[in-house]
Amino acid sequence: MNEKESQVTDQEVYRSRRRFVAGLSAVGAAAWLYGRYGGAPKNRARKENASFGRVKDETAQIAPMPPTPTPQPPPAPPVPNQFLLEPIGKAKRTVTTDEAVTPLSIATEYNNFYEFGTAKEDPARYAHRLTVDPWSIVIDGLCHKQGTYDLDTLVRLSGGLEERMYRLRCVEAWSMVIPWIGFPLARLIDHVEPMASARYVAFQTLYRPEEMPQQKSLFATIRYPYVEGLRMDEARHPLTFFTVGMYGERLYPQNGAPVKVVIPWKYGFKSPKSVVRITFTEKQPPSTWNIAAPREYGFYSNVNPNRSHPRWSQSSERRFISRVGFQNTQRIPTQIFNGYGEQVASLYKGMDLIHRFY
Amino acid sequence: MMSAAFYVFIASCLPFVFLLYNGVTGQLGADPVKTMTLESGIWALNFLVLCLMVSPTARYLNMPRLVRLRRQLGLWCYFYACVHVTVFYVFLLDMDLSRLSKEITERPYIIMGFGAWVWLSVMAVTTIPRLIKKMGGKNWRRLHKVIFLVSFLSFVHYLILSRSDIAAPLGYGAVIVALVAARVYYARAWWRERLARLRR
Repeated sequence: MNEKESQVTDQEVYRSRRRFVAGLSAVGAAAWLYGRYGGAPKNRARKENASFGRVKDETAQIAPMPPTPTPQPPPAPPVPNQFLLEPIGKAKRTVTTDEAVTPLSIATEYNNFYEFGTAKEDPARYAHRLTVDPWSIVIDGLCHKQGTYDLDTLVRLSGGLEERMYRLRCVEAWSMVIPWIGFPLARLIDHVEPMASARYVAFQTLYRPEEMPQQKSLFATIRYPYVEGLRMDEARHPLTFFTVGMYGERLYPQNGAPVKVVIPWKYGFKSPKSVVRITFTEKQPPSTWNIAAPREYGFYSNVNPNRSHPRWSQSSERRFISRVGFQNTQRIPTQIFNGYGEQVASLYKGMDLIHRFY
Repeated sequence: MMSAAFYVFIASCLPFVFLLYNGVTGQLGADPVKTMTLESGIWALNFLVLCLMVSPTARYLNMPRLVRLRRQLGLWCYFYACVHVTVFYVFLLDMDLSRLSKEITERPYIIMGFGAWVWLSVMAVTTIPRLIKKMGGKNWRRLHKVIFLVSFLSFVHYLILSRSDIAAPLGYGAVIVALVAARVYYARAWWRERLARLRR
């Protein structure tokens, strides 16, 4: 059809060009195929989870967080955490639901932990690189007992771990039911004695680009370290859970080991993973997704079927149920506050949760 | 010996065959439906890019017969786009028409993607030889210029559905822009030649 037009190129030139183009496309195709299908074997993180408790002499690296009211205490010396060396044992189940628990294999292979990559299987593939021991959390800001707390100290504060089956609702309109192990965050907050002026609690996720490849990416639309925040009454709410384990085991790295804070009535991204810092502030702290797209994600991010997100209708969700294959999800209606309205609705009395405080 | 078209056919089947095989054997991860949607979308985009590559490549390599493969590649693009849309409608929307109409009108990325698919459908239908004859070559060519619109819509669709890490959509965007630029370049040469001929 276009034969006439193709006579433009000089006969002598095109031969060399052809070789060059062929070579170039071969290299390109090979690189692409490798990246897509060649990469690391699947599920490595789960297998290597066994070596989870080994001591490595690296301190948790803490990156500067945007606005911090007080100077930082010096980092703690690397201490191996006894908690990470021992099996977690049986925890008393205090919150339960009659909904089916999502299979462990799904909860540990379908994750949003963008520090390790944005594909759902990336965290399971790459999070085994995460060094979780030693681990300590800097607690600072407007509280009387500022300091660097290692994991053992924090677990000791707990006064016994408990198991809670919580619904996890992702803003991407899928959901799971996961048995977490931990203790109410309020217990920790009480221990560090926040000042009367502390109205918010800010959280910061680990910043360690050498173990978290996406933190180096030029194409990431969110900024790292990942930061989140809660109002003080939300943070102290008995449902807000300082989580160190799941399914009777310690947290998997792809789920935010060794510590994440779970807030079950908010979208999943409000629950910060691999927490290294908790700061008490007077002003509302920044939160990562709100910075990236303020029209899409507000500070509160309560699960709300009545507020449609530009990407997803939030009126229903795909629940992962205990089956495999193409029928492993079930479409169910989304409940306001993810079904925890009875306990938390009073926190938001009189607030416009659709247009202002979303 | 088999013709090039035959090999292209076999090669183009492979992504679908792999997808189906991995689906049946449960190797599409924790959310096979989502994987299937994503992969079929990526393959529709790959074939779209291949289509755009045909004519500049044919000129560059001086292999006009390559153009004969374009129709097949275009139909493969449409095939994967249809798999994409079908999986989305059947598994993600549970064949709920009311939800479909809501998604098509309310979600910007779905509006883009759906628009691309509609125009692809128009192009696919007008590859029927009898229709081409009826339309006339000139009209047919003019109509099939919507490939550029489809490329743009697909790119935006992919870009705005990415929550973070926009490397992949930007990569596709760059390739599409380069291929359009190649056309502009060749069109210039073609016009220059025409003008020269007129002057003579």
